Order: sequence, then C-alpha cells, then structure tokens
Amino acid sequence: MKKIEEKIFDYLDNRMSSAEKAAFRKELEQNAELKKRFQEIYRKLQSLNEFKNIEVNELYFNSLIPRLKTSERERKFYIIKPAYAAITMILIAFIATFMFREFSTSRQTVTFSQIEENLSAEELYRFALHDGILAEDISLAAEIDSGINQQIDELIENELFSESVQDYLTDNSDYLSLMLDISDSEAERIYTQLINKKIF
Amino acid sequence: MIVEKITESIPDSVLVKRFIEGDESSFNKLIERYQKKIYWHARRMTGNHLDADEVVQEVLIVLYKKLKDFEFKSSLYTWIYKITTTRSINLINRNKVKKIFSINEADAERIAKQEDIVDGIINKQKIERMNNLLQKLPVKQREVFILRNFDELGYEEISEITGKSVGALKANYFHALKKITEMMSNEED
Repeated sequence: MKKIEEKIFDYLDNRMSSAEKAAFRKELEQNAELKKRFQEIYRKLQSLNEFKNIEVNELYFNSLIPRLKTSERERKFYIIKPAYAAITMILIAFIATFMFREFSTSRQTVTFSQIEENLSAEELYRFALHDGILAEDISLAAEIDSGINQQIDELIENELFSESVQDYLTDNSDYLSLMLDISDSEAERIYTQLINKKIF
Repeated sequence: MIVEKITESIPDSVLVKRFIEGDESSFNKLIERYQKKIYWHARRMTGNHLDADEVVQEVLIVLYKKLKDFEFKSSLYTWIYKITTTRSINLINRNKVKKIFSINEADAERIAKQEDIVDGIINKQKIERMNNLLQKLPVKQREVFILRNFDELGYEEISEITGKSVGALKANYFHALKKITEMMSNEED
C-alpha cells in the first residue's frame, strides 16, 4: 500500500498508467485528506516554476564565445606538444655538445700572459720546452730545448719577428733571456705566432 | 528575426557537420543554442555564479575540442548535459576538499564579492531562495531533481546522462521532492 505522498508524487511526476490515474482522481474526489495534501504539494511544486524564469544580464552570455576564443588562443600559445618538447630537447642536447667541444678547443688558445701569471719562472720554462705540459724531468726539457731553438731560428729567417728582436736573437741569446727582456705585448705576439705555427 | 528563426530550425547534426568542415560560426550557433541551459544547470548545481561560470567555460572548451569526435550515438543535448553535470559535480567535490583543508576561504570571499548576472531585487530573492532549497539536497538528489524539474528531461534521458538506472533515479527524485516540500513547509512556518 503506497503512502499518500508517494501516490501524489507518482501522479504529479506522470508515473501512473491511465487506469492508475483514473483511480487516483476518483480517490482524490472522495478522500478529503488526500485532496488537502495534494493541493498543498501541488501548490509548492508550482511555486518552484518561478525559479525557471529568473532574469539575468544578457551581456554575460554575449561574452561567452569571445572569452572562449581568447582562452583557446592563450592555451594554444602556451601548450607544448610532446613531439615539440622532444625535438627541443634533442636540439638543446646537440647545441650543448657542440658548445662543449668549442669550449674544449678554446682552452688550447689560452694566451701567454695568462699562463705567465699563474706559473713560476721554472714552470714557465718547462712549459715552453715541453709542448705546454709541465715537464717532470728537467733533463728531458733540456733535450727539447735545442730543437726549439732551431725552430725559432727558422722563424727568424722567415721574418716572423721584428728586426730588433731578430738582432737580439742572432746574438746567441737563449730563449729564456729573450722572454725576460722583451715587453709583455711582444712576448704575447711571439707566443701566439708560435702556437699558430704549431711549434709547441 | 527571420535569420534567427532559420538558424533555430537548423538541426544540431547539421551545425556539427558544418563545424567539422571548418565553419566556426556553426559552433557559435550551437553555443548560443545551449549556453543558457549549461549555465543554469551549473548554477543550480553549484549555487553561485562564480562556480557556474567556471563550469560553463570548462564545458565550452570541452565542446570546442571534442565536438569533432561526436558521433551522434546519443543526442547532442544529452551529451552536453552529461559534460555539464560531470563538471559541476567535479567542481563541487573540489570545493569540498578545499573546505576540508580550509583553503577556500579566499574563494568564499570571492563568491561573496562576485558580480552576479542576476538583475533586480526580486530575481535576487528568487535565486537566493532557490539556492537555499537546492543546496540542502545531497548532490545526487540535487542532480536528478534539477534535470527532471528544471531541465524537464525524461527519466530515460537522465539515465543516459547520469549512468544510473531509471528505478534509482525515480527513488532519488521522490526523496528530493519530499525534502523540497518539507523545506518549503518549514519556510512557511
């Protein structure tokens, strides 16, 4: 047996068959309590209809599509697709590798004045005699010394140095004396020229 | 006026097809057709303009992105309601979590300060009363009540939207109606 409310809701919600509806209407005429409750519920539910027609500012709805388009543009601008991200990562890795190689190469072109600032006189001498690597064995450096001097002579012959330096060297001054006597800028220039000629 | 009537008579399927072919104005027409339904469903579910607006924006973005994949296995409007109701419930749940961790105080302040789109004192009173009733219903009952009573959808359609059986929906609607009428009685007292 259904409760009164359940019957009323079923009727108002159109859940009854035609026969059930006819029986409910008949009962409604005969049952005062059912009729009173039905009218009460019906009135309340009817009052809910006022919530269906609430007036709003139409400008809001007019703004929806432009806002959507704007947000879509922004979204497209900021979004990074996985494929693009992968390509970018590969490019960064490639550039980084290339830069590292350049950096490694550039280490070989350090200037003479920079070396001179950081090395003692003895270390400098060893450096000059042993292809830029500090020679542990001074006797080995001495062996190389003669070879270096020979090459310097060849350079002099090829007019590598200024005339004044050339005169100095032809007076049998050794390499270390030359380094101590000439100016920093001139020593720098000589060193650079030697590197370029791959003497060290 | 004549142009508007012609536009209104164009079926959803035709507008979707045109949009897929690249006609953006067809998408605009579809949005114009459904935007109020989306807004009011979200508004009744969430209870305030700010959250409803967030839901509307989310729904429009989903429609814009996914409409091209829509195959008309169901009607467009049930699909739109499905997205709207899902997004609304998601937002309600998010807000609940924020409330638990007390991090939505700023949100509450924003909601209080929001510029509502409802015009006039009478309309504001109506919407306040509607919110008082609807927000006291559990979310599931609220969802069914709104779809049935305000969106005037049939149980079969609501079943398609919510994924619940018709029997369960009828039970939910019955409980919602009972609670609403009880609350209205208390208001009168």
